[in-house]
Amino acid sequence: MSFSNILSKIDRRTFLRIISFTGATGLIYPDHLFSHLVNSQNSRVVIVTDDSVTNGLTINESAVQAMLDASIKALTQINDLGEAWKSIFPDIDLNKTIVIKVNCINSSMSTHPAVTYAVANSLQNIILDSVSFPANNVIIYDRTNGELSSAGYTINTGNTGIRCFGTNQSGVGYGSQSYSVNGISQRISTICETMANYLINISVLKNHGTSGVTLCMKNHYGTCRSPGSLHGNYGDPYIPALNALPVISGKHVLHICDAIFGIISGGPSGSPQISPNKIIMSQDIVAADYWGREILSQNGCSTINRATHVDTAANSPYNLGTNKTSEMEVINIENPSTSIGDQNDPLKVPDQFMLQQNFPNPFNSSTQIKFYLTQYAHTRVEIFDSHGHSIKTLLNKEIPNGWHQIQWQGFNSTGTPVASGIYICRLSAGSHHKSIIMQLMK
Amino acid sequence: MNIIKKFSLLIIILLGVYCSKESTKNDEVITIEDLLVRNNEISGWTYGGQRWVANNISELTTYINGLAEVFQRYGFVDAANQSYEGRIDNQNRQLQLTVYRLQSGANALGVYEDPDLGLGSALPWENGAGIEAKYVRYGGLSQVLAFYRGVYYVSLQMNYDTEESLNILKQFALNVDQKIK
Repeated sequence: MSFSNILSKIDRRTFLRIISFTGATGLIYPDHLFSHLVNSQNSRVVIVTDDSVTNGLTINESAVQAMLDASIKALTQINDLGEAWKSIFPDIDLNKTIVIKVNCINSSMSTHPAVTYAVANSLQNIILDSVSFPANNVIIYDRTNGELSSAGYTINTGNTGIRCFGTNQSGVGYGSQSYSVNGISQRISTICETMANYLINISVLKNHGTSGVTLCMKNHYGTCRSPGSLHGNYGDPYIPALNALPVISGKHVLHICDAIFGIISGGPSGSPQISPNKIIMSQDIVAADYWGREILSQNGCSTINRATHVDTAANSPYNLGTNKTSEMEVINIENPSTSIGDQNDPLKVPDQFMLQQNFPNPFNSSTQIKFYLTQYAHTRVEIFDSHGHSIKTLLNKEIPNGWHQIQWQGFNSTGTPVASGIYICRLSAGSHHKSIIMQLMK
Repeated sequence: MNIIKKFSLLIIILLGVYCSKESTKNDEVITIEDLLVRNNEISGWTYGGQRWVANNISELTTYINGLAEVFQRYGFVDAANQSYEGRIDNQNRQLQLTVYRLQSGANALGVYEDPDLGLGSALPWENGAGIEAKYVRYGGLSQVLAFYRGVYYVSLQMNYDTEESLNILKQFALNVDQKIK
């Protein structure tokens, strides 16, 4: 079965997933690998990559914001930012509190404040009764104030602004109730236990000498009082058991892995060793950790085999999510921060093949698609509809290196205007392939 | 004569006091913190954060999380960590120094060679610090340098990766090694 034949038979979710895989790897997978993708179920994972988010160890905050905005829209399939965020909090109202768990135990490689504050600030786009969700109803927390401060967070226990403090903050602490985590007693931070209505988990991409990886499921230092006691047998099944406690799982609404940088060996201590320039977002904690583990594995992490807790979490009695790619819908987004303004800067010459996000997007009558080739190449720019059907080929010829721009006016190959909706633009140039998602709104 | 005797006696007493003080000085217990590089001892590199000292595995776990389990396997005694800040290429860079004391030299070697520390791809630093030393460079992002001598295992990390930053790491390593000697 050819690639185009498969595209014509699959649903939109699966199509997006294939696009994501090919976009991520730059490869067209052999036909036989597509067969298992057809039965897509429901655990959606967004993996957003932005080449401009790092420069050395410096993080571009506007790129982070663009990555998160694109992620939440893709995850929820809602284009309005406030509505997209609102949709992940069931029954939210102005009296509810959203807590964000970060990982600051290693100040050299913590959940970056740029990511956390971008999320926290975005929550204020949620409009309830014509009022923005109050910043003071958002709490960023970890184990101690000192660790938060060392990682670059500003402690705030006041009545205005985003709050941020550790479980060791005076008057906070761990609750008195004892919870059994596979037979080991744990007490839970009152931030999670009593203050939180919703919990957003923002982990960081690190390997771990004992449990193989430190991702979302293992981001609960400061949520539980004695995490060291849960490290037996590589943390399996203690890590899944902790996350399965209703006091935690009942509040988890979103899992984000800050994979802008990563540690692949000697973790969880140490400085950044790789820069994948990625953020992973999912409401399925197992699926999120599955892809975090994959990224570590692809970068040569040597402790992956110990991370069996990710698989255990998918199975009974925990059932925290799925570790099967056949049950995931993976949406890959590339370079959402790139703007037309940057492209027109004559001093900015990319050092690699690049497909910019179309502009404007969403668009009404026409949109510009701009891309950069590093060398002379046979280049094909093709538009697919949400069912995976090829509806228009905008370009199919050899062209020289440099910037190129194509306009699409919303017509298919027969010259008929297409309906409002999601369309995918796929660029192939030599061995490079990239895709972007475009939205036509009439 | 009497004066000479008195003077001699005074000299003997002073010598005794001096020797006593020297003896006390030599008998002073070297703490793990004494092995850390002092503020600005390497010119331009000053303390950049709070020092921590761990006297047992529980405390070490508090500071380095799961990595403590490697040291638990090798008879951990105590450890001290200090971060430093200095400028390279016109920007502030951070360096982390951690000195671990194990129960024996064999244990220090055991830690040095343990694969869980993730230094399998390290390059040897010939004739460098300690009995053996090695380092890893992570493509422009960071560097790790480690060595062992006696019962001590020493780890240094820099959040930058150039030849100049590697030279700074080596200066720190040699400084600590000299203190261990």
